[in-house]
Amino acid sequence: MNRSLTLFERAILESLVRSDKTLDQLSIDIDLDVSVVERILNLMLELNFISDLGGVFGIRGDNFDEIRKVSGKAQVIQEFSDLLTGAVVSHFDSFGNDDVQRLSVKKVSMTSGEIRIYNAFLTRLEEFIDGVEKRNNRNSKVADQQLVFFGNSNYSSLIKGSLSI
Amino acid sequence: MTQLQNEVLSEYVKMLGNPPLRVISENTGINMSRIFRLYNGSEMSLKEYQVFKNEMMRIKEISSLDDLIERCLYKLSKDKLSKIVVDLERSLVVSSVVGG
Repeated sequence: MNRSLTLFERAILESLVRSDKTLDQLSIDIDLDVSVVERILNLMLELNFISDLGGVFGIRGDNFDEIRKVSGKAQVIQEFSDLLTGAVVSHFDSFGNDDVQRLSVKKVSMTSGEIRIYNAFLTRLEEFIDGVEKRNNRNSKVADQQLVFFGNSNYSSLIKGSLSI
Repeated sequence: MTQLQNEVLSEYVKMLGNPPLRVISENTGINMSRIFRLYNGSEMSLKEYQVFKNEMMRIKEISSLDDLIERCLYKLSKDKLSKIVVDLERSLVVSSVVGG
């Protein structure tokens, strides 16, 4: 398979890594309509990523090589972009709603001292998130997870990157 | 309606390069004998007019997309083209899931 997995296909895999599930259970876990989940499952059955044992879906143990292929660097970059794009769209779509999703991008010039302070905050934030991850409640729904973005980029490298054809 | 009708019908035929009635019928979903009557002066309903206009818009979109693809093939690197292919494939997957 040349293309990388879409977010909804990844969500299905993520859910099935936790445990095998029926169609209804998957629909609840990833918070999508049963008819949509059914179509996604058909696609994944065609790709031989999952198996259907009497209505219970699970990851195919004999096809890990294929699954590993869709977890390569290019695919991870694609997934990252999907998540970021989704977060940006969702952020702007949610303007005016109570359920505003926070997403903030600032362009600032920092002194070396300010960069040190910023890095210290970032380290603390990472430690906090790592701690939450370790206490992760595996009974919670896949769809209920929060996507947390943090980090920074050098504006110059982004400008140069935008020139690649 | 008659002048508008004539304009639409002749523009549509020009766009497709004199297609057989069967093709016009398949593209528009309008019965072949009805197409024959329309091209021989029978008055077009508003609904039929809209079908032809929509179909012409679709053809224009396809042809501008064709031009764009051609320019991309000529100008862009293999890497960039691979990314576009992946994007298009993924869009088709999404479309097959949501039924679009």
